[in-house]
Amino acid sequence: MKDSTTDLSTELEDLIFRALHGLADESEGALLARHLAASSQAREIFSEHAMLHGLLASEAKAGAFAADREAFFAALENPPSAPSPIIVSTRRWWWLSAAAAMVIGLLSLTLLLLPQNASAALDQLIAALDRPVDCNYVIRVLDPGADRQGGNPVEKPEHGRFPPAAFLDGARLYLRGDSQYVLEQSLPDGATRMLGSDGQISWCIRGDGPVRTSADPYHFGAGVLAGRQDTPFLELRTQLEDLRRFYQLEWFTPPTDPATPARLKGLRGSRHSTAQGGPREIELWFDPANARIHRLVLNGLPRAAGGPASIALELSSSGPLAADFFHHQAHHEPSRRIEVEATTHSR
Amino acid sequence: MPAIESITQQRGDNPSQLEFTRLFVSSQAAFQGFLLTLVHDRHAADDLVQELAGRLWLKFGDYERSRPFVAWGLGFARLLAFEWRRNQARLPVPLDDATLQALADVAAESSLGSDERQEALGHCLQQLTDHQRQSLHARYYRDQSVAEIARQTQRTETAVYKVLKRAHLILLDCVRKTLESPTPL
Repeated sequence: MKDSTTDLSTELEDLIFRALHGLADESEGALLARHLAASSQAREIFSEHAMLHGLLASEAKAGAFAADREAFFAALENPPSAPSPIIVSTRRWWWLSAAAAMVIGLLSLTLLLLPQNASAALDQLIAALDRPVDCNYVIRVLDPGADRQGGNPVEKPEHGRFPPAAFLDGARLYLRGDSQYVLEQSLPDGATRMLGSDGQISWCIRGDGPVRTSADPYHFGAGVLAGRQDTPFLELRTQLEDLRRFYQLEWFTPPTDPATPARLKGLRGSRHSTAQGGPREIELWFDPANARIHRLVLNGLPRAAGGPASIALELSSSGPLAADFFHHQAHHEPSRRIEVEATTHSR
Repeated sequence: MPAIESITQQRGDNPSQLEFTRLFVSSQAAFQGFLLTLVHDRHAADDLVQELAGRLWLKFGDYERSRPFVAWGLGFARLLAFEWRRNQARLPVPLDDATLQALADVAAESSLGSDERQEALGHCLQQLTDHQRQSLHARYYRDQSVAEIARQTQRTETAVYKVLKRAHLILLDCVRKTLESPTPL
């Protein structure tokens, strides 16, 4: 005679396992929900499975299931990058036209064509951020993210401190090096909000209100993406370093842009399953001649607090801006009231 | 980026930051397990752990040192998980509020013992076969779906599913017995 308790337990464990691995269909999910509602024992079993599921992910991160743990850690320290068709073809071209290349600019070409893996290319891009070059980007919200009903978000035109993230679409971002920025954004009420930092002092000007300043360079950047603490595109160096450390990189060929003669290279990073936070995927288009980023796409942004699921930065121009452009004084009349905000444990 | 780094590196080294880092890192497995129990999705739980780090850091000034950090943090984690569930268009396991609260209570209790559970798991991993280890590596480290593992290893999805489930149940059973055993590890 079959033991009905065992049958129930087996069925429950199967449901739990399927749910935790994203395999449960709607009816299985509903059945599991009924079990959890009806039985404290079911809740305990579920909790046990979920805890183990989480611990297995942690153990995997530590290489517990790798066939050769020594090789596993060596690979983490020196991540292999697949030899890409781009690099191979570039190198072939290099040998075939070496003389011409030397004439037209050996230095600029060696900047990024010679590194044979993606990680080295990222090093070059990060190093290029040390140069105080001005770039002007337009922000595009590619995917505003679904609301709780599953449709497009219907964000209220609130007048709160942080405007709905959908209003990032069309915003302009000016960057100088890696520590100075100005973000200009239209608000739901028609006013303009400007956030900026000159590398020492960050500031925020909203409409004709007071100028708020802070000694924390990213104080006002928090909340740009729906209350998130960090804003990846304002902290480009951190974003690129994360891309190198926590993402699986691959080369790709960006589509030709008729607006620019640059031969752009593409790097795509998929976040390692073990890394926490950050966009699920990052796409980077850059000009190898000067390590300038032409397009940065952040897909699968964390949406615990809402905000867009995917955004892009598109290079609009790279002409030099006024020397004081990143100081707040350049963006308001001298008589405007200035409020200094505390930075400790508050945003 | 890892939750703790992204939150604290903007503020420079200071004793408060170091203390927070130490406490959060030692509690991260508990938070992860707790959130996973309530949201049922590993990637969502990862994102929420990052969000939790931010919220706890902002409130760290209010933290009373006499209270266990995990217990303090679980209160925030509970609110975060509920908030996340409210914002989802569709939940694979739809739970009413009472069930969710009851599940959170159980998860909180289990989370407080996550250190012992993790230690037990470390011993239990020795019971796995190479085949099971490979499957777990593909699923949890490479983040491959059952279908992707099946395609790559030229097996059926059912076969892969069974290997993973078998490994999971072996480990669950071993951890249960280890925790119930009066003999120290």
